[in-house]
Amino acid sequence: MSDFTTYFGAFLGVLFTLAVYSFLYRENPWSRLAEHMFIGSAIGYGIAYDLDWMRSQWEGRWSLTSTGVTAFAFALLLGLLWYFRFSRKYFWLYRIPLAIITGTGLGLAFRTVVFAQLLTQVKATAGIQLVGVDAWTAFNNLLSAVMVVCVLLYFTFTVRQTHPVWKPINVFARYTMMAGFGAAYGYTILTRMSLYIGRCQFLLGVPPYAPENKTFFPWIALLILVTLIGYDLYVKSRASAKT
Amino acid sequence: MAWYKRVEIPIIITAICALIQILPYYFTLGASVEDFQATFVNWQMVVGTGATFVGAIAILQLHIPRIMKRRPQWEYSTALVAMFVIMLIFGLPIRELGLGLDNSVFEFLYGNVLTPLSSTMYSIIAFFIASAAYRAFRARSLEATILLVAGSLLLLKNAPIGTAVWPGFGTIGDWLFNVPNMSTQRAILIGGALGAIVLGVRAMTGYERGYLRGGGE
Repeated sequence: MSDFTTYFGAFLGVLFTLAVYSFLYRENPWSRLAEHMFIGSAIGYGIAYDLDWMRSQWEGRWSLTSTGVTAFAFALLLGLLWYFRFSRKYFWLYRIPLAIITGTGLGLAFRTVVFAQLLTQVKATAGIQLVGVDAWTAFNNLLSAVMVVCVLLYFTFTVRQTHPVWKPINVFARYTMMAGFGAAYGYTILTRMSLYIGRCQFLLGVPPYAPENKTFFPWIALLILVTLIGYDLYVKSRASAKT
Repeated sequence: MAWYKRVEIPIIITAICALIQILPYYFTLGASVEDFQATFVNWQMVVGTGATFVGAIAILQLHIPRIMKRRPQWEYSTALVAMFVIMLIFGLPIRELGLGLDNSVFEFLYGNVLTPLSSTMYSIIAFFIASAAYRAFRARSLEATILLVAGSLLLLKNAPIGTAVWPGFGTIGDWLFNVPNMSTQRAILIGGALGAIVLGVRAMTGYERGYLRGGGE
C-alpha cells in the first residue's frame, strides 16, 4: 500500500470515528455526515455483496446444467416481483416471492427451533444432576430447574392465576428474572465498553491498528472541537437574531 | 377481486414451501426428496437476493427528491447517495473489469470508512446504555434493587478492578451469570420457541396474514 493510501485511510478512519463520537456532545453536522456516510456505504456494500453471491451461485452451481439455467432464470424472474412493492395496483405480485421466502424460513425454523430451542432446553432443565456432584453444584442445579419452571409459569396466561399458590411462584419468578436481567445487563455493558476500548486503541494507533492514526487523532479532534464550538455559536446567534 | 389476486394463493405457497422443508426432516422420503429440499433452499435464496435493491430504492426515494429540491440537509443526502453509488460501482461483481469485492477502491472504502463507522456506532451504545441505566436503575422496590445489585455485581466481576479489590466478586458474578441468568434465558428460549411454532402453524394455515398486508389493503 502506498504512503498516500495509508495516510488517507488513517485520516478517514480517525475522522469518522471522532465524527460519530461527537454525537455524545449533541447532534451536529459532523455526526450527521458520519450517519449518512455509514448508511450509504452500508447499503452499497450490502448490494455489492449480494450481487457477488449471486454471480458465484450462477458460476458454481446453476449454469452447469440446463435445468439449473431454467431454475435460475425463474428465480430471477420471481426476484423481480419484489419491486411491485412500490406499485399499489400490482402489489399482489410482491406477495409471491414474499410467500416463498416466508414459507421456506418457517420450514427451516420448524427444523431448528423444535430441537435447538425447545427440546434441548427442556431436556437440560429436566435432566438435572443431583447425585454424583458436590452439594453446592446439586443445589444450584435444583435451583436452576425451579427457576426455569417458575419463570415459565409466570408467563402462563391461559390459566387465571387466582389460587394462592401462584403468588409465591410469581414473586420468585420476578426475582429470578430481575437477577437474570441485571446479570445480562452487566455483561452487555462490559461488552460495549470493550468495543469502546477497541476504538480508543484504534485512535491511539495501538497494534494491530495503523500507527498513523495517532498522528491524525489530536489534529482531527481539535478540528472537530473548534468547528463544534463555532457551529454552536452560529446556531445561537441565528436563534437570538430571530427573536 | 380476480382470483389470482386473492391472498389465499400466497398462503398456499407459504404452506407448500414450509412443507418442502419440514417433511424430509421428520420423515424418511428418500435421497431425491432431500436433494430437492437442499436445492430448493438455495433456489429461494436467489429469489430472496432479488430483493437486494428494495431497501436501496426506498432510501433513494427519500434522498433523491431532497437533493433535487434542495430541501434542508440536502448536503448530507448527497454524501449518502455518492457513497452508495461509489461503493456499488466498485463492488459490482464484474471481475473482468477489475471490479468486485477484491477491488482496491472497494477494499479501501470498506476498511477505512465502513468498518470504523460501524465499529464506532456499536461502541457508542455503551454510553447510552450507561446513561439509560443511571436513570432506570433506582432501588425503588425489591425487584429494582435485585436488578441494580445483580448488574453492579456483574460489572464488578467483569471489570478488572472488581476482582482486584475482592476476588469474591468473581465467584458471585459467575453464580449470577450461570444460575439466575441462565435460568431466565432458558425459560425465555422455551417460551420463544413455543411462540415461534404457534406463529408458524398460524401462518401456514392462513390465520396469520400480517406479513402479506400492504399495498393499500
